Amino acid sequence: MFMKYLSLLFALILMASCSTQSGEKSNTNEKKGVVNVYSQRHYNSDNKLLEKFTAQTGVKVNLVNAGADELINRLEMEGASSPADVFITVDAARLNRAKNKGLFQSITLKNAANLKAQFLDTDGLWFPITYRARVIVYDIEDVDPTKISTYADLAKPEWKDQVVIRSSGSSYNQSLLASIIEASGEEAAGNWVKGIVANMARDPKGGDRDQIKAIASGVGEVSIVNTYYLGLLLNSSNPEEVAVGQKVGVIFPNQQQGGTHVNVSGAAVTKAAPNKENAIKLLEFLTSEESQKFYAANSFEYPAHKNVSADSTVATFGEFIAADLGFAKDMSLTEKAVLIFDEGGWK
Amino acid sequence: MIGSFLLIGPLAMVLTKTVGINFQNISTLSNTVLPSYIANTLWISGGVIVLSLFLGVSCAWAVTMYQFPFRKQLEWLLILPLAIPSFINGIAYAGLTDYAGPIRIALRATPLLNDVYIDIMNAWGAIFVMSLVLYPYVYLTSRSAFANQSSQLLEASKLLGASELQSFYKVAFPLAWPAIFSGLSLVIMEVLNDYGTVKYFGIPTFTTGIFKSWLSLGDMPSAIFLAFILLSLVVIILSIEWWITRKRITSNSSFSRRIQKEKLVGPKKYIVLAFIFGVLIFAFIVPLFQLLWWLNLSFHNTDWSKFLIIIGNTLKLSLYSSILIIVLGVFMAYAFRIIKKQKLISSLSKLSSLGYAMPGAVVAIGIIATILLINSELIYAGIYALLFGYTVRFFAVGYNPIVAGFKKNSSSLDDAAVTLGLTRLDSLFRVHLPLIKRSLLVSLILIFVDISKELPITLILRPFNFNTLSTNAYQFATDEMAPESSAASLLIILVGVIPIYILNRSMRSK
Repeated sequence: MFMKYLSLLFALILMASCSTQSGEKSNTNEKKGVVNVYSQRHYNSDNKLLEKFTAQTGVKVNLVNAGADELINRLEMEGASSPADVFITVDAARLNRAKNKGLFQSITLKNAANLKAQFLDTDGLWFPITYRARVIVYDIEDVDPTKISTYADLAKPEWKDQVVIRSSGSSYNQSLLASIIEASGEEAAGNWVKGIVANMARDPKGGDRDQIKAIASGVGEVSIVNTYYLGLLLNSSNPEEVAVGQKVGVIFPNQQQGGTHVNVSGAAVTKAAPNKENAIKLLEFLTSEESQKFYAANSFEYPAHKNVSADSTVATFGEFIAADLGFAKDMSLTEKAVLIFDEGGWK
Repeated sequence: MIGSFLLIGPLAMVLTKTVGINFQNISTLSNTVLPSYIANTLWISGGVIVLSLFLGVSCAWAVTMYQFPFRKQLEWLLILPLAIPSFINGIAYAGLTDYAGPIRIALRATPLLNDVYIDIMNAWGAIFVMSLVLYPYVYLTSRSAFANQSSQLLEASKLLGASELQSFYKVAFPLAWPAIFSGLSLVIMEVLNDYGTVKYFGIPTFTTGIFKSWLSLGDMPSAIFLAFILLSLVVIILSIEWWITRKRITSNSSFSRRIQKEKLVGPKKYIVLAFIFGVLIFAFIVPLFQLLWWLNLSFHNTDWSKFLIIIGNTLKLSLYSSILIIVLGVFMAYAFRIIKKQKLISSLSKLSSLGYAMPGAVVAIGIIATILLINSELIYAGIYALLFGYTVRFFAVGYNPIVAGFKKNSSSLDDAAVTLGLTRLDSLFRVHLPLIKRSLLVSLILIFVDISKELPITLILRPFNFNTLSTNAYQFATDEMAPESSAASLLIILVGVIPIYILNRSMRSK
């Protein structure tokens, strides 16, 4: 009896190894070489672009997706023996964290002049690809949007018990608070946190979509969410979710105060890159007008290219001025933000 | 010995990463949020312990002691919730009850009820959602303990005038406790390092503190320091349990009659059936229904062509690692049985099961550090790093039932085998392994299913261009695209259900 199951087990192992054989055609394109990518961006749009890159250049792309900090730690530990050539993440502060750890090398990117200057790294160690805006959404039935023009407005007493927002553990909220600290100082940031906490309709929980659903449910009337998730929600395969997305309006805050807070995705060539030339090729490709148009149409993000504008659902939210990335120069403001959140009782 | 060192090695390597720790961050954390994090952790793990103990033990008791309609089917169906990752269960329940979910859609169409707001995303909900997928650990271990118990002891207790309830908690439960606890300790460790569910539900726990230090403050030494505090807590719990039960007599099942199942009639039959069906509905049918509903919505934009390879990867990893862990576990458990007097070695064996008490992401750091120390080329040479990682992380899952199985074999068996001229190795294969077959199968199910659900280690240690079902589900879940993640989630469940079914059959046919 036991043997019977043992042999069944081995049959399964055989099956398993056979079925994966087809997936391991690595290093077949030796002539043109490979480029190894550590990326936080696990999106279908990125995968399609990487396929296009291979089709155009013959360079095979090897990809690992994981969280930004895990990948930074891995790069750091691997040091000179790291296989990675390109590092991609969705957060400028994380890019600078890796940059300050000396994990990148400086390269000359021909396309750099075509990218929005406000997002360019001053030392040319990493390059922006796309960005997303952290906007205020409101219940279109109950809220007069002219009453809100800044993030600070949401901390006013008139929004008591009306704010739904995700937890302070969200890196988007941490970046936002870091930018507030940079613009107005720690004290103002602390007061803003206390004001928002006092206005919360419920304890922070869930993702950005869940906040919009809470507005639809009548739990609260206003929230701060990322345009990317709102874009996804409005294109959900669940028609009820699309309906939820249509119940809210979008405000781009701080248009008179330096611009709306944005999260920038960017790419860098790693210091130990064994395939540096291919890495640069990939960065040129991702920042080219053609790829940027692809992002604009397919990823619910804003392209970093000067001459390309958004071409998806997010374009319908309108034009806006984006704030610069001063808050992200290093992680110290983000770290301060975490502590201010904790002190202010933002869960 | 070598086995232990291989397993402890990565944890020790993690410990070296605390060098240069900055206590500033930890003291700020402890002055502000850490106390409430600890309170949340205690509250949630306490709740999950009580609820999963209640569900697991009572279901195990019912299916071993009573005969009732559908018993055979229910017996294995009750294991199935194990195949659902707790984070997926959380998303499913949240999706079920949120604005765009089926319950609220139905309520909106109902007069008077159209403004009802259901919120499962709180501490109670987290306890509920996690207990439903974790109770099978307790169920499996206590079921095999109850099934192996001697009926004479129970009969004796009844003869002495004890009611059925009294016999249960005075005789059966204490006798089965070591086995029950081995399942419960997995539940405890699993709850303590859960991050996905509590994060989504917005309940900051001690693990939140670990990840806050690491990811947001960029302070890995503090994060690891906190992880080791969590680990010490687990060590303390395990040691107390070990200390309390160290002198407990075990009943020897080999020479006694098996339990005669009592045929249930009347209201008792319906109460038992209703209870078990209730557990099954909430733990399996409801989340399954929600995932299927999502699958129906997202079917057209799911890329099915890649799933064959992804399933193959998942099967391969789960199988290889579970066999690796079982072989290692059997040899270690047997070695420590033979040389049981050496205290140091036996505590080594306990230490090597601690990987399970660490957040997977932290284990992964230790694995990378260890591999880099051995040979930096190995790190991207296929799936070895992953197998190593899984073994460190899930060793406890396989090892505990194996040890519990060995414990039931009386030491007179070893003596008899030696007297009859068997070598130690012979007696392992011809005496012990056939006797602990059931425990081995339990181990195999648990490890296999656990690995097919695993996420953090897989994410960071996988080779280039390598996806598993859980990384695929995660890809969509982090993008808040729950409907699109349902295909992979359902396949994870399916991959877990098949071995559970096969192995459960083999457990019954002896």
